[in-house]
Amino acid sequence: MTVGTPQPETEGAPDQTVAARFALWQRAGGIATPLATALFAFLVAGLVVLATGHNPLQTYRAIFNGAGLNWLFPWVHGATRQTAAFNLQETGLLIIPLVLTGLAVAFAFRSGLFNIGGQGQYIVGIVTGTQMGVWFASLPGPVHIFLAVTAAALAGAVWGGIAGILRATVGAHEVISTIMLNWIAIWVGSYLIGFGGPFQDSSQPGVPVSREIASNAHLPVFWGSPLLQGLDIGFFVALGTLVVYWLVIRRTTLGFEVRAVGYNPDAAQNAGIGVARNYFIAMAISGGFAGLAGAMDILGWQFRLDVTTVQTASQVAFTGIAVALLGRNTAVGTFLAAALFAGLINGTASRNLDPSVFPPELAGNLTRIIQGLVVLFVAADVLILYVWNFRRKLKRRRAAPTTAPVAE
Amino acid sequence: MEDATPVLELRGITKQFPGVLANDAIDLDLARGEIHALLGENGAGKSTLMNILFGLYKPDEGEILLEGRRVSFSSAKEAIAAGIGMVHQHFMLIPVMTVAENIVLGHEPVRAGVVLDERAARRRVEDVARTFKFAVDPAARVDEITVGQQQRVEIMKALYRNANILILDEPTAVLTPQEAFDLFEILRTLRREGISIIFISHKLNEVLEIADRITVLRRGKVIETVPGKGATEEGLARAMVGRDVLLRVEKAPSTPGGPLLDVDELHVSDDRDLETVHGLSFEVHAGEIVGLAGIDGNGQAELVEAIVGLRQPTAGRVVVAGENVTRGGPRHLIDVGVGHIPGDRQGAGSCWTSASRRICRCTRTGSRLSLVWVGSRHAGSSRGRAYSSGSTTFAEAEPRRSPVRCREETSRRSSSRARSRPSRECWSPLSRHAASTSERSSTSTAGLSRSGTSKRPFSSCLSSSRRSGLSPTESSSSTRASSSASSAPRRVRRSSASP
Repeated sequence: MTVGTPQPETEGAPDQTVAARFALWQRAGGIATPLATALFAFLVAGLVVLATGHNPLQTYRAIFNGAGLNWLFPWVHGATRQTAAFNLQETGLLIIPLVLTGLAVAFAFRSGLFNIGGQGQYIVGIVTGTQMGVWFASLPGPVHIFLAVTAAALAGAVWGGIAGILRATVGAHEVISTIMLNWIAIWVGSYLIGFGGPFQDSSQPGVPVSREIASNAHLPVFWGSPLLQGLDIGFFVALGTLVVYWLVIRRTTLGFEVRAVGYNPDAAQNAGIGVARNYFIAMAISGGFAGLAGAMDILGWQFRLDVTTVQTASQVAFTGIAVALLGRNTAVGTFLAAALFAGLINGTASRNLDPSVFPPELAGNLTRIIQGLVVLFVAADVLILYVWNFRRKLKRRRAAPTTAPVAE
Repeated sequence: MEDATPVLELRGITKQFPGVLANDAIDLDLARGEIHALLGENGAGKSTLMNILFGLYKPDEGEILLEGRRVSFSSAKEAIAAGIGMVHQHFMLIPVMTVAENIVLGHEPVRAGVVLDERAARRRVEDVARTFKFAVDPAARVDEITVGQQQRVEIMKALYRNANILILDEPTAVLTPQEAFDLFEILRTLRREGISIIFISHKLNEVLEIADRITVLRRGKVIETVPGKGATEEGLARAMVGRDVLLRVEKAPSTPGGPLLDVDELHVSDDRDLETVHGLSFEVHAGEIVGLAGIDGNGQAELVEAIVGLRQPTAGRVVVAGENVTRGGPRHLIDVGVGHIPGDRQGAGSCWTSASRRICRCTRTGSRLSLVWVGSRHAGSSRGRAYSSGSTTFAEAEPRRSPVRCREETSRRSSSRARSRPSRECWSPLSRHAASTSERSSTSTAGLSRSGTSKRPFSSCLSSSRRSGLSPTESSSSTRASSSASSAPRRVRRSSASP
């Protein structure tokens, strides 16, 4: 490869090589970049662990076990296997909202919008889902669940749709409006279930929680004990939503137009596609995904909503951004990224991580470090490209002085 | 062919913009199967008129009759539905999608209500291609086909939507001569199929070649509508500009002075960091006009930006009057007496940065006149050379007459500025019209690697015909390149000796 040496006389040759490399980079980037990103993040996080005086390999093994992934090994038996199963179920429970909030970001991305409002959409979804679960207690289970889930998804869609309408009509940037809508959702939600709020549990006025949802609105658990937060069918809902996402994006005219708008709104407009309409639809569908995530959490294992969940735990929706980024807005990628982050979060949870390997009070920070690094490196594929180009420039600059004496 | 009622009739279309009457009571009619050229300078109101027709602007007065019925469009969608298709100068295509996907976009065939029927889409695209004899692969990605093919995709987009009126906005601006020839063949086929075409241009020779009738606009008014047969370049030019135009500048050979601008082994990359200027070297002497020829997007823009300091070259030097100004920045370039008339009226001309504001203060021209004009008192001197950028290759010739056609107005303005400042240079890419009327039209397409206008890899840019067309100029260019290499050390010494 003689890219760096300027050979002006050989017509076009250096550029073809550069272009070919560029194309290859882009093509390989589809799979290679996310993998490299994740590996790199783990590598750097390992250095951080090393700096704190712990063994990174041991720590990663402890995280692996904390996520319950050792359950997959057939040689794990007895009590260890039991614990591993519990851990893996919890990881699975975390995968559900991460997949759904990841899709909430990914779908908007496809239309060229950046949905930061997953948190707010998740909150309106979870509040609506909770209250629908509390009301209508006399309905039969499946109907009740369907009602609560649909209402939660619709609430999320409305919340996302607001940002979409604002973008479509007055051009308010969706990043700003969704962040603002997050805060509105947080404080409205806090009011509704907080002290004296209309949805607060009146039987215990000293605790800011909602009433518990009717037991027939609980999602059926298919693995583990329903009492010990086993894995519920929300997992399949998440998987099904991934398939729906893929179908909509790839196979329907809606997805086609959304992608077209995302690639080039001018061209789409010129072809007679309603760009504004597509912005609204994309944001509404995104919000629907996030609202669904809230419903799955409340109906699957939380059963009652507390203010802490609304104000802090809903930040799981922010991880959805990282999921979508790492998953490159594809269905499969989103699932894998969600699984990675769920494993990380669960594996470093203080109750799961082996305290003899890594101090539990630091464990949560480790997750955030790795998460942050992943996001950083995801954003850095541009950076990597930049470095790559810079190297090329350096080479050329280095080559330039050597050619001058030759000409002399 | 001739139908009693015209397919399209514009009556008294008037559009007022703040400070300018863009269209002043314009009448225009279009017969079935007619190629009707709309000719006029930039700013004559051609684009405004077409945007009104396409539903993007609302006229203040006047009416549009389609097949004798009065219509009014409030969006492009309505115009499309009424059978009007528009091919913009800058294509409205999505590069990462396939040809078929781009064509059906907005009007997708569906199965079961919502599912995109890709097979039907491809079939219908193939139908259109067969009917109108287009050679385009529906499965190819748009960023992997040539600009000429992309334009065909745009035309097919309109035909797919059953357009019977096709508006082409400066369609040849981005095409090679061969591609333009192919386009004209396509247009003639469409005419045979009964499709009416409005062909917007300011290139006289093209208009004369293809148009059945020619309508000339000037300052928002229709000056005349004449049949294509019998029209002459001189007559049309007079109608366009409003007075006699010297198509050939007759004057004595100039006596150029010493080198003022020295571009030495300049490498420049575009916004995507792909190199578009590969070690170009040339000198411009005092009192000399140098033409720069080539299709849009062959590095002219990057070269000019690098020279005037708007873009950092990756290697090489720009020397003005003995001073190395390579990384001086636009302000410094202005201070040493380099002026820049941007080719793009809408971009750099719209004065966003203080630097470009400075530049456009001296550049109130909408014309894309081809002029590298190095200031001195010998305004409009006549030692001419043509370069094609985009690669190192360029051909040189020294005709007795200037290859650059100047309107009097521009040259007058230039010379007055030259008097006020001793050394000034104005530069904008040479339009092909000017090049083709010069005595060395063959030099204008050497060594093209077109990348700026469309985002696709270089490897796919050069069609085989264009490659083979290169060979004669390649030989001359290599000799020139070697001579420039041998002269490089001399220049280096000279500039290092200067204070």
